[in-house]
Amino acid sequence: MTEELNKTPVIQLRDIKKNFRVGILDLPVLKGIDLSIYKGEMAAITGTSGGGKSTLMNIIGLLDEPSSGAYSFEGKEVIHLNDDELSGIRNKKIGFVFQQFNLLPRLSAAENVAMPLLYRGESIRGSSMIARTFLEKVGIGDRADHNPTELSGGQQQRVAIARALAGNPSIILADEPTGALDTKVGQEIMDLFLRLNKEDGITIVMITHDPRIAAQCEKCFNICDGLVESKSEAVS
Amino acid sequence: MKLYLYFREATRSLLSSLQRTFLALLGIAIGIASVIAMVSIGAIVKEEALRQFQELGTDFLVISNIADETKTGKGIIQLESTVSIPRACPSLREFSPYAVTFSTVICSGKSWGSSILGVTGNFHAVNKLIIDKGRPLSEIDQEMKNCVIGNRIAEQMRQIGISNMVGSKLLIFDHIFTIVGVAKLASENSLRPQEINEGVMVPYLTLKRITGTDQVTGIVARLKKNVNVAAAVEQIQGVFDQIVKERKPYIQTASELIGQMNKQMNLLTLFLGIVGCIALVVGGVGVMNVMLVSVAERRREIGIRRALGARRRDIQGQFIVEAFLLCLFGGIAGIALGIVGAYGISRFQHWSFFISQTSILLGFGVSAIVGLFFGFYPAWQASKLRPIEALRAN
Repeated sequence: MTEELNKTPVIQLRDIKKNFRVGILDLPVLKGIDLSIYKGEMAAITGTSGGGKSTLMNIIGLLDEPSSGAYSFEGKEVIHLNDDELSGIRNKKIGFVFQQFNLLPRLSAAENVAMPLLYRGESIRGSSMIARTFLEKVGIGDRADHNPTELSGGQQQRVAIARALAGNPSIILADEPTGALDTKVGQEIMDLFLRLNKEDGITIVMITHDPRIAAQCEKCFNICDGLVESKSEAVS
Repeated sequence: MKLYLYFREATRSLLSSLQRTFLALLGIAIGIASVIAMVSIGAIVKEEALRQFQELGTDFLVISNIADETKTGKGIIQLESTVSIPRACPSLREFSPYAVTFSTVICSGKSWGSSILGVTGNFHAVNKLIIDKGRPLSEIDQEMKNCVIGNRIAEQMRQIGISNMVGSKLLIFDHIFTIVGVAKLASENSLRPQEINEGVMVPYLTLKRITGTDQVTGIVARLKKNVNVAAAVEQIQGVFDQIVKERKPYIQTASELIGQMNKQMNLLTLFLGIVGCIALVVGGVGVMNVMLVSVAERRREIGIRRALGARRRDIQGQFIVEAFLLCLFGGIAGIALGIVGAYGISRFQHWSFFISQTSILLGFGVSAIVGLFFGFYPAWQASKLRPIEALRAN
């Protein structure tokens, strides 16, 4: 804990609130979230469905704005940044992994992985080389030229992880990454995340409703009724 | 993102939905084709109309409305009184008065009613008439019973089996005339007296001697080079005011008529161009429709790209380039189609075909503008999608 205090968190949320307007009602979904994620951590965000964990994830991922509260990313306030600056942070600092993989269907695996680098201004040749090394890293280097439709769910999720890693981000945000996969393949993906965290020190935040997955993370935030209900740290 | 990558992404997405791409291309191609075809045809019709006058010469001039055509005998102006006109009008280079009357023409037992033109020796030259067979009438023929027949009489003689017309005899005003020449069909809609094609041309003095008719119906003339046409017309008008008190002659010049024609034809081209542009706008709306559908269908893709760090301008760029490519290739196809269409129509109408460069430039320019204009709104809409909403879309 003392070590944590000396470091700047990668993500620090203070009193984050989010209301959704439904007709004339202003429905509070997040009622004041405080949480910090530090470099090298692997954290799970759990909670009942509809409890606001996806909303929280979107706010952390700068895809959505909170109604109020403060959010600093690597010590920098990000609430009032303009769209281009937010896009820049998403591009360079955040790697997304989605439940539905969200690969671009017309592009090959390697081209999908290269996409964040292209938006950064890299050349096709340079980004393609980086993409291939990351596909090797997640164990599907031999499928680099296949289209997503030719890959299994587990393979697609590996491509998505390679894409999240390729930009060398500060943090990987995974939204139910095993949700669309069967238990065995889901665990393989989980093992990959654990390996990346242990061996490469990659910071990972993962949303899951699966307690078996959450149990493997060192830190776990349980969101209930719009608040962080409990914070547990695995003993390791 | 680098610009050439927009082109790569746009090309891929266009190729991924070929049917939609084809329909959008077709719409824009038809639009561009109609602009090209309409403008080309406008230009071709203009050339065609002007060619008939240019062949006649811009220095041509005709003076009419100087005879009382209901009367025979002596007219308002006799040949005698025209002699002084060239001297009084120094801007005239050549000058040829003629008289028109009517008679029955009998040949080998057949008879037709026909206009009879009494002409002076230089009439053929001033009108630039081409003599198909034989020779034109000249000054030597005056008072002789020789004639040159127009195209229609020649046609009628051919129908009764006379093929060797030069040297044949015609009975006109109960006098035997010898055909010395056959005139080629003179282009219509020009300023030339229309009786040339329909009638028989005889020497003026012969006509006067055998019928007693001496009324100048009209005068064809040519202006000297580089004279001011308006001033020349005024000068001639002035001279006629002294000769004829009763009426004001009409003076028409080829250059004035060409000017009017040019104006009319430009107006025609403008209208045709507008019609083409309407088709083009319809094509453009088609492109916009396709692009809007494409944006709606690809909301999730937009969301993914935004999550990966695409800026608004990256999304906008990709969709604008897509619309631009649609219009570019639609434009190229349309230009080809338009040229083929214009060629087909001018072939059908026997007009001499040429490719109007303005229309090609117009086609390229307009298709690029249409692409950017109609591509902008869907692209703007795509860029304004909030990443989170785009990602949620199915």
